[in-house]
Amino acid sequence: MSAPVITGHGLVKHFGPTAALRGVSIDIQPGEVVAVVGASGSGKSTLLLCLAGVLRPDEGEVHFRGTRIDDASEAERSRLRRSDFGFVFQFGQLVPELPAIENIALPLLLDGVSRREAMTRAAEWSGRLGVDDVGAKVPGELSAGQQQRVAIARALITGPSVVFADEPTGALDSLAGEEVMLLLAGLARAEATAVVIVTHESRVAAYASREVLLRDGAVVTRAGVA
Amino acid sequence: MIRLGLRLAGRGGHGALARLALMAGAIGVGIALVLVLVGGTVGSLRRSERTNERNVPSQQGGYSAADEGLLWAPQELQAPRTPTVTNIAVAALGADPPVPPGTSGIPAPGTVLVSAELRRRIEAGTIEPPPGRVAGTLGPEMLGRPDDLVMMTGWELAALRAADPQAQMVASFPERDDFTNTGVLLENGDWPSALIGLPFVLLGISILLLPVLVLVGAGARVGARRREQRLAALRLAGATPHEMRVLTAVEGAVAGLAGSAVGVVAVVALRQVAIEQDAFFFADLTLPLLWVGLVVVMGPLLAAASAALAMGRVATKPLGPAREVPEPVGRRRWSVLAVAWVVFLIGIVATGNDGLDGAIAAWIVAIGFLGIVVGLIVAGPRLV
Repeated sequence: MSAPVITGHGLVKHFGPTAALRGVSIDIQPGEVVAVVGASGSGKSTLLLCLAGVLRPDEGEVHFRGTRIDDASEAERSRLRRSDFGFVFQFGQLVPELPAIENIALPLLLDGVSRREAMTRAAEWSGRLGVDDVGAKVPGELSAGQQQRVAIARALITGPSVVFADEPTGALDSLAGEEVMLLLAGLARAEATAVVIVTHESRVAAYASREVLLRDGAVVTRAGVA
Repeated sequence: MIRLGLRLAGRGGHGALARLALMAGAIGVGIALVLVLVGGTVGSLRRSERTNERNVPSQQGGYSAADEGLLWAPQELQAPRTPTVTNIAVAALGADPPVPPGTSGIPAPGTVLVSAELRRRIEAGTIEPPPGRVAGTLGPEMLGRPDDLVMMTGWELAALRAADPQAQMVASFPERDDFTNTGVLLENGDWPSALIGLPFVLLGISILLLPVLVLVGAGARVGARRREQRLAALRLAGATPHEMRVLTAVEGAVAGLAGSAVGVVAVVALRQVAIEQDAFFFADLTLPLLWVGLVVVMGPLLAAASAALAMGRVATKPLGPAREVPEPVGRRRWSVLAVAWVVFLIGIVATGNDGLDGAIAAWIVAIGFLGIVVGLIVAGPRLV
């Protein structure tokens, strides 16, 4: 087994008096798709956000390619999110003012890539995700499924090592959800990108190669999915 | 990053446009207030400097037959049902008397120089013609305002000494910059030396700017939810806190620039009204370019600084405003400092400035209140 791309060790996170994580440890291998499942309030999203450097754990450590990131500065963690991580959330992840094509190109634009090159690459990815015909529309003019495709394109455009997906099909009907998961899992495998999916839906978890079940902020089982 | 910020500022939809318009309007009102107050004060001081010098020249005094100078005797003429006319009787003393400002020479005995408005009224028959021949027009250097009714009558020395024993000799007139009534808004120049009321002008500006801040705050709240969603999305996409400050500063600067433009247009319009009312000469309302530039640049700068500093939670949390965290202690410390500062200022006012030089106290209070206003501009978006 190769070295994990990202690891969380002994992660503890409190929100006020409530313990969201109670010493969770997890390894994510390069290119694998891991589903973090559990009931509502079990700490799934908190774990994902701690691994992604969005939240700082109260205790424990997060390492990305062997480098500790939970104590990195806000700017360093921002740069990680820009270049090495991708995000697909249930909603609210797209900039409402920018058209779809610019939303896809956003991480590149923030990274200082020339506008021409960023837009060219965004056009390629919008084609791969099947949203090239709505590139000029702003998110408010897109269906929920189209928004998620745009979000996936944006998450993958930088060639990230890990994509964090928090209930990526939560706002979609079953058909659109299937399409989005097929695209996400398929493209991630094609790009050798690890995916951490937080979900409470078994049909979504079925796309993962491994499941991690959380209950009350602790890992209950780690199971491979056949 | 600046280009992206400009695109975001320009593509915010109706909410962002409304916010931009409100903030620009408020900033424009603020800038117009500052420029009108300062410009009006400067203009009034320039105007009164001239009329004071006309009525009581600073270089006047007693004289003897051997002196070189100009005998100077101003008086107010009030005829029934006619406006007051200022008449300055002058007579040459010696061979080389000083030439009064606004004239090309001393009027010869029996001749009169009149202001433009007085000439117009004489020609219209609404004012009796003066005794003597009208030989020319008095320039603006001798007038307080364009509609001043002033005349300068030339006398024989002996006749004026006999007619007005109180007449004083003017040895010379103060050197002044050329009074160029060019009609331009700006010129390079200095403030009038008599601008001793500046602290109180600043105080007035501070008080007047408070309602403007309310408008700015109201503007900042328009479309706040959508704006916060956008900022959170940018953070999630990997924008660093510094980049977020740049992006929002650009947005604030756009509002500030628009506000500055609104302010300058409003000032030019008000200035035109004041001039058309004959209340001021163009040159009186001309401010030094540097100072106007500073005030105009302050709009975008303060708006940009305010926007950048107001990033708040969403600047550091890519999850948006839904997940708030407790207020940091640092802000409470600033609050305590601000309250202490206000109490200090009130103390100075309430104690009658005991132990402090009046001018120093006035400056402290004025700068203090101006500081509060700047602080509110900076902190405003965090408070609303």
